[in-house]
Amino acid sequence: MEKLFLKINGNEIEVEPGLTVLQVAKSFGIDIPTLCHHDQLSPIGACRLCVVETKQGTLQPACTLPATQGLEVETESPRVVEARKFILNLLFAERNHYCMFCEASGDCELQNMGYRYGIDHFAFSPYQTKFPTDFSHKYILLEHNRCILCRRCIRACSDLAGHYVLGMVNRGAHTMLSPDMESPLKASSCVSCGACAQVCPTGSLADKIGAFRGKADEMTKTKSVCANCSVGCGILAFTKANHLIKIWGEWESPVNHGILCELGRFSPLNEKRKRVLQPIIRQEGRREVISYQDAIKKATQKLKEAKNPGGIISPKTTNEALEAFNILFSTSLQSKNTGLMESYNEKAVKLSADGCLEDILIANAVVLYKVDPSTSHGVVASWVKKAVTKGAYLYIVTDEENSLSFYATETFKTSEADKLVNTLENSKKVVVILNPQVESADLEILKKVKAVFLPLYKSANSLGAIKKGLNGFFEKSDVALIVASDFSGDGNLLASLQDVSYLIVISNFVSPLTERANLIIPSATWLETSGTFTNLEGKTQDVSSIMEAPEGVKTDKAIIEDFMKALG
Amino acid sequence: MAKVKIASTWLEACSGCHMSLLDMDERIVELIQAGVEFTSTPITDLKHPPEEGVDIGIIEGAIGTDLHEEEAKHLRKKCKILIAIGDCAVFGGIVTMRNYFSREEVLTRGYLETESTKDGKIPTSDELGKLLPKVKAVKDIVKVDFYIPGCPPPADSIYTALKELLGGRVPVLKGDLLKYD
Repeated sequence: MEKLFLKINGNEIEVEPGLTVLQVAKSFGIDIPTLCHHDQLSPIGACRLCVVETKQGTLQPACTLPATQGLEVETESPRVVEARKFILNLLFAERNHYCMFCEASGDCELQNMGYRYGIDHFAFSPYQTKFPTDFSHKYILLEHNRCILCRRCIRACSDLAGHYVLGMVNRGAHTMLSPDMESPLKASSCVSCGACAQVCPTGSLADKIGAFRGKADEMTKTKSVCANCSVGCGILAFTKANHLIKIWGEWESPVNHGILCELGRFSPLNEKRKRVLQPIIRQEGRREVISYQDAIKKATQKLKEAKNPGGIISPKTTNEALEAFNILFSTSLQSKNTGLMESYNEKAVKLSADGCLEDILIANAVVLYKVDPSTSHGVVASWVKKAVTKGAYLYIVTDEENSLSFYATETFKTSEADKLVNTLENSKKVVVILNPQVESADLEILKKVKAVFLPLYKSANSLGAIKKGLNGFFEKSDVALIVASDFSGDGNLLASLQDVSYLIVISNFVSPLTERANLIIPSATWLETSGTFTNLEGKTQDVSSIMEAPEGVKTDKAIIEDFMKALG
Repeated sequence: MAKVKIASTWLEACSGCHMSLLDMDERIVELIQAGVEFTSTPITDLKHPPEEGVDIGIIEGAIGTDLHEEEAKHLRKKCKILIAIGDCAVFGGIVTMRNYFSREEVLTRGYLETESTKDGKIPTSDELGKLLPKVKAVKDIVKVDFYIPGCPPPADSIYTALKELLGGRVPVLKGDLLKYD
């Protein structure tokens, strides 16, 4: 394609067509200040802070100005600087921008711009009108007094996350950010994905748990992968003195592109379950704390003496721990009696050859087969909403209520699932999102559909475990080892342990399962573990330890390896 | 060497900015040796600037009552260069929180309704300043020549500003010297 030649600050630059002046400037290391612009969002030129002066003497916002042949711009000319100061003064005057009692002070982009342009006082007296604050939401606080109406949150909510909850109401100085046309945030259709709080440049939208707990600069930031479902979203965790302060979606993650769901962003911050901190043995009806070495000795001795040692592992532990677990049983204990805390239809697993989440976004038709991703796999629900907004048809097969039925073209009862085949006959790109626990009869129908299949496994490493031959509980065992991670053990699991005379549980938290155990060994949570998870697409991604485990608490992998050492 | 006289006062504020001024530590001595004379300040405990006036007037705090308004105007008359220090004087600051309520609401809440108040009374003495309807920044009442924002401003900012003024230059606060919190 034809190259473009333009001049920025007098320097001739050669670029590809199709870029904005801001993008060009950035690629050449020229710093143009921005406020309403965000790299992940489409530019709208709302704040005008990025204005540049053209040869013709006009001021144009760099974020929306296309780079064209022969364009000449100045990025810090006296007129530009004067205009930017004027804009900042208008923004500072509009609402409450007193930094000393603001949550965002230190991280605020408006404040940084004030510093950059030497705003040492407000040129115009502030408007001194009290705007409402909306503290109704469980996780997100909405402080209208700090809002600069940049609309980043609106673009993130709609364009990135597909939820379309936020919008603007009224005009001029009365313009207000508003969820669902003047509904309190709590009562709105907000699904608590928190994308709005992540992109807010000021202290207008923040997550309640992380608010007022320090500046981002003073926190440790760790990239990792969320373990709350099988999507495997990239996260950026902020910690301070080994406390988890907040979680952001990782923009660079190829899986979620920065978007998270309620589970991913907020549930780890809200963790209230009681940790297991020391090994505990139960004998003659009494519970006693024992040393870690004694616990390993006791556990391995019991497993060695067992007639039929069995093991069940959690699909929330790393691939490395799963491998160690398999070696422990196959080599050290010579037992094939292993299983997983979840069970899936192997045929459903095989159905998905090379489906990936991106396929949802380019699909002409999406099918939700006996699955409702909204609460369990929030980002999948986000992607489905985005696909529908782009024009894809959504078909839901369910006998229950589905939170996405509002978006559905048609909903089928499970008894009429075979109607799908005809309905989808003429669709080019079909994505079937299914529950991998479906019956084989369902699969007979689905086989007839030409589609990409995405089974929504429950846990972060379910697929990793299935690939290692772990699926479903063991048959029967007298001495059993359960690597539980944060699983509490449901009725089915507890029932399957009826014949177990000695139960060893490696667990993060106190649970019905640890109550049933004869020997409990504490383990590190996924936040405290490094390794890899395999997500539902089959991508194996690195998990980094975000926090340090409590003293003496080891990871699943380290504990299993200690078992192997003790067994020799 | 001619003395450079400084007078300072605090209006609706917490005194933090004067603490920051004291936080210049031994550099106060350096300034005094360079010819600075502190006349009326809350630190020297002299209430009124000298009759003949001063070179530099410093105001901490916002304008919250008619008394503050009078004091600000008086100091403006008596000084050549007026500096507003701290967020309250520069922007209105934290005390503007009361601008979201009426005077009556503020007084009732403060003197009658706080959880620890028993048989409270709104003070009415003529000696006390009367609350203005809204708290204002100093620049809304009198002309301000120079601003040092911060809550409180760093001692370095105050020192740099005074040093520059003593040297006959217009101070420009940048980097760590310019902060709003």
